[in-house]
Amino acid sequence: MSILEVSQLKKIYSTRFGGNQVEALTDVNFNVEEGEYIAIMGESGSGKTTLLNILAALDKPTSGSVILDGRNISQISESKMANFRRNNIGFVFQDFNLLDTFTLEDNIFLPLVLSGKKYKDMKDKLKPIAKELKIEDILKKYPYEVSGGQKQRAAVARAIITDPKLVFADEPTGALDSKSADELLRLFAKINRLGQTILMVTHSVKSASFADRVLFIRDGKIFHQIYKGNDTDFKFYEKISDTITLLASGGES
Amino acid sequence: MRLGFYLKFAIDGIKKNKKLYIPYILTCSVMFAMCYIICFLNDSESVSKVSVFINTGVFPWIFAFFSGLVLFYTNSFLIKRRKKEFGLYNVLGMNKRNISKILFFETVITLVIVIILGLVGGFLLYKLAETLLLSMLGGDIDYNIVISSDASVWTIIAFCVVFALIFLNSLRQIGFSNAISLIKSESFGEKPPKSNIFVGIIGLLLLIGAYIATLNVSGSAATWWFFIGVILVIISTYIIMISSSVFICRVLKNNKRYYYKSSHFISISSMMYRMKRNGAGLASICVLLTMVQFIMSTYIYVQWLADDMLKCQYPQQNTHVRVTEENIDRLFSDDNLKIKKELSNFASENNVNLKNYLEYRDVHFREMGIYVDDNKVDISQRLTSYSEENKGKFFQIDFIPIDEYNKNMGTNETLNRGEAVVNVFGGEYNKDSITFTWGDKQEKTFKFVDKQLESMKIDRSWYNPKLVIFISDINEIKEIENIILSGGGNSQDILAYGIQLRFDIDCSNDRVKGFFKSFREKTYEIADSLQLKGILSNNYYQSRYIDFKDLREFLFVSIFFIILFTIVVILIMYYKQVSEGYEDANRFDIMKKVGISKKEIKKSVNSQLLVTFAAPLILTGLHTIFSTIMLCKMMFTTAYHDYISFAFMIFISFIVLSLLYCIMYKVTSKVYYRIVGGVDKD
Repeated sequence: MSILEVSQLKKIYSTRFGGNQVEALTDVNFNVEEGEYIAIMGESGSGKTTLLNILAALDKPTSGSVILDGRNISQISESKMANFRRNNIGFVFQDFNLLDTFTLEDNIFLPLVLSGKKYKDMKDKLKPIAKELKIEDILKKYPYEVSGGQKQRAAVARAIITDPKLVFADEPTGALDSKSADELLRLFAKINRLGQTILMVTHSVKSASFADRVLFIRDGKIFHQIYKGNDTDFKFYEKISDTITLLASGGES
Repeated sequence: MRLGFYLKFAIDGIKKNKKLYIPYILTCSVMFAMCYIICFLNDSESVSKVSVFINTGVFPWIFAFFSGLVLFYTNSFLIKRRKKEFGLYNVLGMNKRNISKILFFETVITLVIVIILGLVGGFLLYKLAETLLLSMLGGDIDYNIVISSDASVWTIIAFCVVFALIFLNSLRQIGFSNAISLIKSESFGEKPPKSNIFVGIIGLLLLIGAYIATLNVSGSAATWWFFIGVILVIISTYIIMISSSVFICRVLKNNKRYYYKSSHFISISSMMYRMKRNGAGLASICVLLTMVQFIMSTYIYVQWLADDMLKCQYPQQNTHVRVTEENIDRLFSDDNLKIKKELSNFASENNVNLKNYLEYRDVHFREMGIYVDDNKVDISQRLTSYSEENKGKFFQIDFIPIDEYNKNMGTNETLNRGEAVVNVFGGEYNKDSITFTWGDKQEKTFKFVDKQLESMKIDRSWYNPKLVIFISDINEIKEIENIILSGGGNSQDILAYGIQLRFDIDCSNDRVKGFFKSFREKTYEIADSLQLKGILSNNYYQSRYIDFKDLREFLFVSIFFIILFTIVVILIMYYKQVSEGYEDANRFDIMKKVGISKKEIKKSVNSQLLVTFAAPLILTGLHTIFSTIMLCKMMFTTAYHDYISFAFMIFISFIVLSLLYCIMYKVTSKVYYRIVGGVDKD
């Protein structure tokens, strides 16, 4: 069953005085199955971030539809949107987006508190996740007191603590050193194996090679996709790399 | 590089930061205008004719000094916000000298705008201020528009000096930091605020101490206590706002069930930061509001005082003429009848009617308050000095023969020798007699009979309660004179013999002022021609507009300080909102992504802003309660205190101040919402 269906998505930005129109997304179609781990790759300016913003309902498409778990998100009213996003979508950002006025623990609790959960329930919920993400010892610290990798793991905890249907990750390894990045990617893979659907936007081949399927986006369109199938991470890495080379060398087919 | 280049940069810099610069320039201009006005009033001839202290030359300096302080504060805020920009210039290859040139041009441009706006404002508003002052002081108002070049030059020089200092200060701030720290200055990772319970408690204790001090002040030490109290209150306000508030947030935060509620969660944690960063600003707001309130309270007090004095002096008729004679016999001489006649003739020559006469002869002790121990007056000890123990034992004493009473009140009361009736004004005297002695020698006792006399509406002392003793016959006073004589005193130095005339000058308020002037001269003329020992003539309007001149000038000057402090409060609030807006814009962006609706954000923002802005007001309210108590204790040494209505007026003024503050808050928070963006919509 498809958890996310994207069809004929189009997004046109117009400059402030309506002079120039920039087509960020031309015609995007794809489905995400439950439990899948998908990476979307593309160069800067290819429309990756626009796509992610629309999928996460942070931005509205010009036309086309995004159906998440059977609901068309563009039909959800503004007032219910925040609630919907909180309960159905988890978000991991490149620059962590943790609030500096909260401890890591409180940052993680943020969506639950907003949903009116009890402190004890939240604590119980956090326990296994914190253990899994190895952040038990630093929960009481403030974001500025911990390393980038630790911050990002806290952000992951915040994203998954609501049991979202889908986790979006926007260049999650972008601000991390290679060791922390590897660790984080393994973590994503592990979470995915536990049943979490993940959609990641990245331009790192390494990151993409952990996914089940990689979509390539160029000039606002899904240009190509490859499946991991039974390939090893390394094998898949080479495949992705080859595809990118091919795309870059101008292969139009 | 050419100068034009820097000029362009400077103009751009001001334009780009207009959110910061417009309020700054406006403030500078208002200060400039006020400075000019004060300076001009100082030189003005029509003001110096009536003024007591406004033209002493101190006020322009005081005001320029305060303006300088305010502008210094404002500018350092501006520079702080612009460090990033200068850092960028630095990274792009401008050295500090180039940047200082830009800053220099910015300062000059600002100064020029300020001088132009300030001068125009000053020229326009001067007349208003002068008219207000002159009407308060009863001077002659003319409506010619005037411009003072002296005052303009003085103010321009003063502001050039202030701006030069401000410029040097900006240089200092920028000069000591390198490019990277300039760029990063805004986004420095901030430690979570540590609350020090100890400091927090000290703050609260200091405040309580200050309040207790205000409750215990009395007598001559009051002024000292007042200053100690003021300093304690200011210090504790700062400590409480900075430290105690963080401490309170922390306590709330540790209460998990309270903290992890969607309505408290965001508010409390960001409040901790807000209070730490803005505690000082909030404390300043509180101190300034308290000052404004205190000035207003004093204003009310002085106004009230003047009215009360007038009420004591003129209980009914608006004019009082008192002829002082040498001795009892002279009181009843024929000459005295002439006075009244001549005065009424003079009035009717001027088409003015004198009516509602009250005319009586009295003898009273010259001192405003003499010491009455139990029911004894030892005349030799009558000037005993005031102390805490003999509080309430000082009275003004006035003897009026009962015949004089009968004449005025149309009654037919009689008293036997040695009997008397006493009317007490503004105090209590529950004895059934009063005895006059000189040391142990001789006595004269008046026994008070049980008789109620409707009181004559005569003036009363403002400081001490007054005993009006109606006696059977004027000759009984001679016995008191004898007591004085036998003790070696001179009765003329101790007693005053007077003919009191009270009447209304019956004409319009506009005319009464002019008429009374010539009327008073006429009384002096009559007194000279009759060779009277002394004559005094007073009129309500005369007293109201001339006699309390220094108080009225104080009121006038206080208006300027109220405006000054209010502007500072608005500025602090405005800049607080701007800086918090920039900080929070980013935070709200994150929250939106995590899944918080605009409505929820707005709710949390509202409650935070409300608490941070209510805090200074609440503390100001507390301060005001205690400063009012202090004012009462310090200043109400008079006999006629009406605490309730005084407190009520202060309460009203506080309500007005609160409303003003709320408006300022509403207006400035608009800026915040605009910066945070979109939060106030939907």
